[in-house]
Amino acid sequence: MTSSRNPHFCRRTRREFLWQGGAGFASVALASLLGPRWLRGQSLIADGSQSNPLFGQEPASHLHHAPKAKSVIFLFMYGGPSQVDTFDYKPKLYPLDGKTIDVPTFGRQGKRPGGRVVGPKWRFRPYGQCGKYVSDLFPYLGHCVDDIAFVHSMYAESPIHGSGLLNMNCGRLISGHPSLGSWINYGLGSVNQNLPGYVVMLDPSGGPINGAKNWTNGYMPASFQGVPLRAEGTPILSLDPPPVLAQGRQRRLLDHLKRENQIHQESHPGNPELAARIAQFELAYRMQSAAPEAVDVGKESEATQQMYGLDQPKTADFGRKCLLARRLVERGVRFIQIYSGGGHNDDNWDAHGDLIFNHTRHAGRTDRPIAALLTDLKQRGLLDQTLVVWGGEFGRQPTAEYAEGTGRDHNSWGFTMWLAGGGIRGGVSVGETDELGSKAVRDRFHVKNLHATILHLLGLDPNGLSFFFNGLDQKLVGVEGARPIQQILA
Amino acid sequence: MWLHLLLWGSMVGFTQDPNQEAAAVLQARCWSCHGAEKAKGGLRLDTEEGLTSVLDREAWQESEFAYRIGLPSEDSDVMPPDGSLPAEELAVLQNWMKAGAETIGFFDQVKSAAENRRAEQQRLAELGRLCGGRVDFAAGADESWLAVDFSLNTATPSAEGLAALQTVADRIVEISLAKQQWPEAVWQVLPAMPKLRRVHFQASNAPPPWLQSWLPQSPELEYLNLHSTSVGSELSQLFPKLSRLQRLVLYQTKVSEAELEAWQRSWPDLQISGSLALPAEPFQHGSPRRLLAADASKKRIALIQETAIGHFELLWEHPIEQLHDLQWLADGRVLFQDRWTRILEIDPKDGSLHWSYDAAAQNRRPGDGPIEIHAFQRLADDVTLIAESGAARLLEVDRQGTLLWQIPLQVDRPDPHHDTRLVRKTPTGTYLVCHEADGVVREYDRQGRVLWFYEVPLFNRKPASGWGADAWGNQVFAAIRLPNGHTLLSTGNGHGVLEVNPDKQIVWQLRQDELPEIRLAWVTTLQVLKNGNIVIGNCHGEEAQPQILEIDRQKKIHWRFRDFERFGNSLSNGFILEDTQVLSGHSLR
Repeated sequence: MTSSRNPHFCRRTRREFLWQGGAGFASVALASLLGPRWLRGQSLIADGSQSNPLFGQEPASHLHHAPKAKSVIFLFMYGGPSQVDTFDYKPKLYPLDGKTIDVPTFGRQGKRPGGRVVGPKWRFRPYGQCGKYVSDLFPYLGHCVDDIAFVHSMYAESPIHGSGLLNMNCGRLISGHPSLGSWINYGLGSVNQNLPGYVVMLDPSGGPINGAKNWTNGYMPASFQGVPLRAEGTPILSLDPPPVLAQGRQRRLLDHLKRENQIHQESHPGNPELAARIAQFELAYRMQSAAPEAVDVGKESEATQQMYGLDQPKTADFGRKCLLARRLVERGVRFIQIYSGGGHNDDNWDAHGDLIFNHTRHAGRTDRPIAALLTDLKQRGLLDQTLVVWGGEFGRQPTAEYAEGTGRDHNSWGFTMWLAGGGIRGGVSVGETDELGSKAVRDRFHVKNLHATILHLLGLDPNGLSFFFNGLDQKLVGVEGARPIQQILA
Repeated sequence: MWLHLLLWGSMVGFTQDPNQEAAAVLQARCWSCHGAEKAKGGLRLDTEEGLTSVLDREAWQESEFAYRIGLPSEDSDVMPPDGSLPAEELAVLQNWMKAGAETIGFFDQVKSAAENRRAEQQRLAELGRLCGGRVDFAAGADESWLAVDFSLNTATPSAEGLAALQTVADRIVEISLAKQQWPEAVWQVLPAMPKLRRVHFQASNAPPPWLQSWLPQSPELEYLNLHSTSVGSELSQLFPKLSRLQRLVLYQTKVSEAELEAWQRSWPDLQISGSLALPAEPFQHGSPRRLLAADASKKRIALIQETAIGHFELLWEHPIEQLHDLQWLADGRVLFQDRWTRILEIDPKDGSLHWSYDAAAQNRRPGDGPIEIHAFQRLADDVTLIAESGAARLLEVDRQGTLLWQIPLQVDRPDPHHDTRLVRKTPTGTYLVCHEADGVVREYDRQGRVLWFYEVPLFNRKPASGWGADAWGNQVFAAIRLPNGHTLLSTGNGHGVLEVNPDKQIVWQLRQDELPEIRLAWVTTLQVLKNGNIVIGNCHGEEAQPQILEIDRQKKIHWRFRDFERFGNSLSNGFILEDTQVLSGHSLR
């Protein structure tokens, strides 16, 4: 029986005593819970080289192989662009326009045995040395095809936006798993101590379905979560301190909080949430000055701003985001995701009603900015180490969704994505859909293969990068693993 | 890490100790998943206890270990799971097991490798701390790989840090000092890096003279980024010394575009990039299909762009009263008329007016009656050809409207509205004039002599009045001289198109009812695309009919344009702008 007068031993609680006294044993157990990554973080703390194991500002990280890319810009075409109207040229589909044919499809309307063909609504023309056919939706981007690798045989697990987005962003159909950007920052660590390693920019019409689940850290520490960055006005909401905290008060408050948290941490060692919290306070403080500088496109020349289409109302928004993406890449941000499209239906690429209206709108807003991004990265020598990924959560069907109109339903059985930049072989197209563009038939690639390709190019081992959770070495590509798409690697 | 390299060395035969060889194979192939960091399936192969749980020394052939590593590479149970164990390494393990699978000193490597790695990591962490930057390294066969990145430094590397860098300089394959203004001393003490492959000095103050002496100490250099630095033409002296250089970024430097081009010619294997820009005309060959068309009934000339097949967006429009000719100029401006006597040159990009000519006021002669213009053409040297009906003459004027040249036209039925329809100067310098009232195409030389003429036949049909498809006549609208010397002409109320040779024989013909579901009415403008297709204006055809058609010589329809909202039943002139290479110059419209 413990004396009620003296519940503490040497002024420590029983719990503290156990942690501190049995540190050797305890940390082994903990290490096995948190994985080797955590151990490495601890050892670096021990030498005093950094303040926090979980934000990953390690001066040394251990890569699987020499990386080709250091940053990723993922241009997410939310809603699902139609492959046969963009980059997957299907000459035999044009004359079938209006005819009813047997072609099985699976969309939000469920499975159907066939339907009325909607012929491609845009002309395609050849571009570049490689002669890649690109539709008139992308006249500027067409000129970049020699730097781009197209994957025409992508397939995903769900033809529904919510699960499709989770599939593309987090590798799973269900919530709770970390997103690609989290995995990358977990694997590589952030290089910039003043900016988040993972930034998301949303469409002015709003965020995509699922909201923050698309840039979630899942079961990883909160510091791996994507930070929404706004292209106009205050870059990061709730970041600026209120006036009452001016003149050093905020710093004093943070120092005090940190002390308190550290005291708390001593009795809860290895609590990732707590460590993340301390780190996030500090990061937010540093971001107060770093973020406005990073998003100040006024520092860019007029020619640059014009190239991104900032002078045109149609392209100004996405152009600004693409320009910001380049600035963030220069500042060491690892993963930047820009959404084209948000909200509902025609606010994004989800062309159920009027395909021409919808795709003209969204391609018109993004074509020039994306071409400018690739060109600008290239002229600065950054494209060699920046991986640019384009695509949506799925594609669209060759047939009409309704009796009238040009709208196409969702299609996860076959769609196109493209990659450019760091480690990508330009001017190639791999995989094929059938003659109607309805289904991937040759060299099919799952979303996992895309994820594996991205991780691989960053110097990570897609089948080795794991995070221990719920009794399992969780991986972005799943426990079964996946191979990178070899055909598009330089 | 060093041990690792040593072990790779041992595997190619520096040591004959089968135990050491086997340990090296296990370390290279097994311990990453069955070791201290990870123990898949709860199995470790880097401890005596773990190894013997799957390997029975007395009956090694029956053991799980020997069985799994010996499976064919495509077997789902094979270890390593990707079937990557090479045959010679398998043999090493089998020989070792055959010899009793001794493990004396076997696992020491595990310990020492981990210790080495930790020490290495701490050394690099310390190095990174001293230099205020980031040091990456990669494991695997390429173990000695080191990349140093100071581009996000908030502090200058200390002297101590730079000295420490010296100790690993021979392993550095990539370095970045980008985006920073370093004290001169940093550059001067930067050690030589013999294995350096990639250098990022963009937007830094890297001193050009220093680069000249430092860079040649990196003969392996493949990538060099110097954009936004003060380097200039002196750089070219380096190229012979950097034989492996593949990529050089010189955007925003003192190197001129001309120098860049010269260097690119001299060193074709070296990819040098300066400033890049988006194409002024985004489409590969000019533009997507755009249509410049005018309709007097809707009092409008408009430039529209085909955003999707059959769908157009308006790029520019301008009110008109009457119009029978229009021209798309090479610089993107439009030459058109807004009434029978006035010609305007406007830039559709901003609507600005660049030239105008008023036939009612300019170059009038005493005694001239009413004048109308039904044809004009911008020629070389800013000269404009104008055909005056009523005055029955062709004239050329300069930018000031000064009369430079004129010839009288031969007309049998003079009429201020009907003397001519379209007039075009041919590549040989002659003038091909459609005389509407006469039903004749006449070709004039520079002196006004008629060199050739063609009377448009009525095909034994009696003329019938009216505008539409039921009218009949030979009121020729447009004539084009083809490269083969033939003349392609539209017969107006003859509802067709004729190609005639110099001997006036019809070699090709399109009749009123030859196209499925189409009945041609007043056939107006003609345009021949480079692929040979012909674009035909079909005016006064009423709402059910297309106003413009693209057909091939087999009379297959490739494109039809019908818009009775923006345009109406009097769309007389249409011109397609697409692939500028498709159009072989102004003579073909």
